[in-house]
Amino acid sequence: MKTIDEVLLDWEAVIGLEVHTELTTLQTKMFCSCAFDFGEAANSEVCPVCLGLPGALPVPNQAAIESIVLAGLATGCDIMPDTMFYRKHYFYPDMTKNYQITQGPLAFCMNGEIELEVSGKAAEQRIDQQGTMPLTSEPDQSTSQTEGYRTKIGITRIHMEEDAGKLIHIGGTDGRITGADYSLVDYNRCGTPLIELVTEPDLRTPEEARLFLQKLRLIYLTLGISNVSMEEGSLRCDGNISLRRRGDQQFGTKTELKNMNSFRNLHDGLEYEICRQAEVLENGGLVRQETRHWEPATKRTIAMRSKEAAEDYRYFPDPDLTPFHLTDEFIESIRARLAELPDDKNNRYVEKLGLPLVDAANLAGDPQLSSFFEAAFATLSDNLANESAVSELARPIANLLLNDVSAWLNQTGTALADALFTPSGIAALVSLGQDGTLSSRQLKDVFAEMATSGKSPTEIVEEQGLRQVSDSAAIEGFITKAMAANPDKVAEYQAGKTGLLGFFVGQVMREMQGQGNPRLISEMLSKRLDEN
Amino acid sequence: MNNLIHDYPKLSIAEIQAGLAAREFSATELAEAALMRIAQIDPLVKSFLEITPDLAITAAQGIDQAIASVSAGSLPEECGTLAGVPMAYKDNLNLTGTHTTCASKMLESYISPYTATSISNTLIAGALPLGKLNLDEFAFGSSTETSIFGPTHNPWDLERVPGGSSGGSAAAVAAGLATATLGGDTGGSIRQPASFCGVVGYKPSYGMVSRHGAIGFGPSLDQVGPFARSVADAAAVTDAIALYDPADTASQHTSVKMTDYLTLGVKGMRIGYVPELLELDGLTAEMRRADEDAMQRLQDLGAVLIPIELPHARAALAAYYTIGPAEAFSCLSRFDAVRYGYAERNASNLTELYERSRTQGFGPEAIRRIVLGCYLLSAGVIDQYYYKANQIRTLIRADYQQAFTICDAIVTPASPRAAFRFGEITDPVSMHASDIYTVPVNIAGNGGMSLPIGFGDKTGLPISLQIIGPQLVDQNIFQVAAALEETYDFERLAPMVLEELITPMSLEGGAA
Amino acid sequence: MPLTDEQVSIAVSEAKFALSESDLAELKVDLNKIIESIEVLNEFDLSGVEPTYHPLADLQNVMREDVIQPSMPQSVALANAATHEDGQFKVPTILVDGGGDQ
Repeated sequence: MKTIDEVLLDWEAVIGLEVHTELTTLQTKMFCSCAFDFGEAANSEVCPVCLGLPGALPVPNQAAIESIVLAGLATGCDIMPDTMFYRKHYFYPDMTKNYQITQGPLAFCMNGEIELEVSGKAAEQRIDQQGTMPLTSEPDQSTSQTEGYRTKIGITRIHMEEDAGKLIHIGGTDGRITGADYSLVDYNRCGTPLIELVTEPDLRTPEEARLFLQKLRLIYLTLGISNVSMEEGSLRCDGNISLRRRGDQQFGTKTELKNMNSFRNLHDGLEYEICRQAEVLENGGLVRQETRHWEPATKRTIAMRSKEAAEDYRYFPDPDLTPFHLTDEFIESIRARLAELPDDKNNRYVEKLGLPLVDAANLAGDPQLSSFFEAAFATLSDNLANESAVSELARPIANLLLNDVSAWLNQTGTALADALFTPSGIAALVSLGQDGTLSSRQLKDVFAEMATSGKSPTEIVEEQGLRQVSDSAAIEGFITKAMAANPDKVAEYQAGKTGLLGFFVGQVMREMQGQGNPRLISEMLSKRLDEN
Repeated sequence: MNNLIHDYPKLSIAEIQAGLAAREFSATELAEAALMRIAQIDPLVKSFLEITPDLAITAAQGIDQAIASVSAGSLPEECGTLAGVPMAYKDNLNLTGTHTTCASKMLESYISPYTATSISNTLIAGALPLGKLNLDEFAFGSSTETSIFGPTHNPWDLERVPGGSSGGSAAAVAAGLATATLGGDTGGSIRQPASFCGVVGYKPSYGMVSRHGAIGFGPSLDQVGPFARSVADAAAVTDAIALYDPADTASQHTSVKMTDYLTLGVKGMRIGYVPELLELDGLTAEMRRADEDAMQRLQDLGAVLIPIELPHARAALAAYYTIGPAEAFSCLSRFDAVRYGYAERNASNLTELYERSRTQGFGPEAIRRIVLGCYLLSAGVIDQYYYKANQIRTLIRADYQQAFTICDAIVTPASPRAAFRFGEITDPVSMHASDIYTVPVNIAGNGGMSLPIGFGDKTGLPISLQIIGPQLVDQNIFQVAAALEETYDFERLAPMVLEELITPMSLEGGAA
Repeated sequence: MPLTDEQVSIAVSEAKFALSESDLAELKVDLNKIIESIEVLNEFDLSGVEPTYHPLADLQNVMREDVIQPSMPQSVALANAATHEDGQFKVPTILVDGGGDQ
């Protein structure tokens, strides 16, 4: 098989995504008042409604409707004032009614878009730059200067629906349905509020698809409507892929790709499928319209079922549910709740707080870390005189969070929310560094102690006598002592070997047990050495 | 006690409550009397599918305990408006711990894990639950002949059908086995059997009574409602069940009490009638005579009769036999043998499980309507019938809205003919035609009542008038019905029951 | 339009029934009688008429608060099932069409 880079020279890949997201931050299911916690005993979070018992009636969860409107507003969608729920019929044992309540031709959210920024090697895969904008090089950030492009991905719709139950297959290999003796069904997940976003076929490379899903995930995280975990299945993505010869207008036959349950699998699955289709077409074959399953272990896609006969879902408006009319007032009340979106946050960090581009992107890309950052910054920023002071404070906080703090969280496997240190503690720590009380070395040590004990930085400094000595009289004494102990080095220095300054700083610091202010020591030392 | 067995079938709800207050009898005695009568008489009528003596006695004992806590002559506050009223329920209404079979093999062994709001409202009001009543399988039918447990017999003539689908609910009231019952009405399933059995049957406006727990097949058409032997009893049950229920999105808040409208009279009320509907071929002469007599009585009471038009009524049956099956296909898809319901044990794969269980679990009429609905909803066909049927619904609703600008209630025949004999109508289309007067009301979502207005001068069988009100203004129906009912003086209990009453049954004899 | 044999077979199969040839033939006769009776829908000029799907045409936006109510115990959920195992509903082999590799 050709590589993806080879294939994309001749073929244009046309990719659309269908992204299902469970609204995990809600308390109850879409149409009943059952909880839907992940990992409960099978069939213990069900009721007549979500179990599809005869006679039970659905009642929509208002918070779910609010969530999908939030999602629509955050992705530039038009919020449709008049919509209905429909029934979509197909028999399958993960469904309790053998129809799914979903939306019809009009979804709550229609016609949105998300802008992607593609850079680095992956940007080269976009052979045809039509519809894209080149990335401008950033003025002062040498590391982020890069070739790339921006492109807008259309969102066809986001509709509201209910999730199905979970099937496990017994007796086959690897839990596969094919060859299984029988299957077991747990309906705890059945009825979980689910929003499905469908993109236009605007994506052209596996990397664009990956970036799109990452960005969407970040938006949903920021809105707080889901924990968007691909691992737990609260974020699920299917892809529709077809190829056409470069320059052709007509779309090729598409396949639907499933089981891409990580960002990497999404990328790799699409990449494989593009290469597979290219091989079929280049050998004179035809791509069959079918559903395929990505197998990460063998790194290939497997045909699941043919979709040649279009399925007839017999959609019709659900008579158990009233129509929806979302007023402007309602939509505006939701808009007022819209959190700052990742793109806007990123821009603010760069423009207002003067963070380096990479730091801004990393912080804005992590809603928890960025809100921690904001909280820490807020405790110190009240009395700031001017913009440069803001930047002088914001940078070291961001730096500490993105380096020491993140590294510690990773190493210990701790969630930021569970950590013992607080935003105000981190702010205080940074202040101690800024005013020279702590050396950068001491700052790291104090943070480590904060993380394990939960004590405040001032407490730790007091207890351990870690205070950086900036008292020039005290330092003066140590300098005199160090010079007296090394007359030969003093002579060498004065003969022109000024590189020995570092040696003397080290001597002084050792005498002071690491608590001296290195900048002050260095200044005073060079003065004394030059005097003599 | 012996007297009670004798008198019980004739007691109204008001008389039951007065008797309890006066300590003439206890609720437990009422429950026992009712159960004994069921044991003696129901083997002939076959209206009950399940009898729930434990539930009835337990409920009765609770009421008696409450009564014991207050002085004689009054009822305690916690006794609801239906305290001590023996009731029974169509067997497509869920009641926890009972079989809810829908008269189908599909649910023959199904035990309800929850209770329909309509039933629980009667229980909260103090009703004594006697059991569950026969119906056409999944309410598909007009005669109870499609019940897998066999048909119910019309107490007025055991050779005839009681009507359907709520035939058991109508027959149990006519036979004096329950003071009131609940049924369901998708296209006439309360009003037609009520007219066949000579009792009051009322389908409330859509949204008045919660559908939660009622196993209907047409969610946009279904409504739960009462059967009783008088308008006043029907009003009392209605007031107890027409309560807001957050479990049904259509449920309405209302403070209107039907019992407040029973003595207002009809003087000056404008009552519409549809001349065209009295000219239909299928309407028997004795029906027409009785209806016209009833309209004359209304006029004599001071009502103003106004001829009106319902120009799209002739399309109502077609709309109904499109929307009904379409919704039925969808609603009954859940019967797949996985979570509940008849399951074919020897299925070697899932498709076999589905197909064999459903083919054997559903009877021919159910299969016919489900398959029809499946076809009607399919791509390319849906626009041809289902979509148009809902456009027709718009027009039928507009007809009623227009009519109710010039009248306060509309009267029509309840059924084109009196109760027919078993097996007399086999052709589905002819069977459907018996719903001609009732179906438009479901399509529009209005309320309608069958009020007994005597007996056919040829057949001697009960005849009813249908009274229709503006949507959610059902008090008009009760106002007209109560006034008209006053002008008649005939027995609501079927003759077979009256014969039993003339020859009092001994306590030892008969009872099973 | 009367249903063809094929249309009847498709509807029967998609509604998950398995009927004998004679039952299918009988069903087709019955269905076509009903279809004939509902053709009256096509006799009206319905251009410009909006369909009414819900009988309370003015009712909108009926929703509930996002507040948990107790669920049923697992034993109750499973009580009416023909077969279950490990707290789950049991279904026989699910045959998947296609399934071939490429």
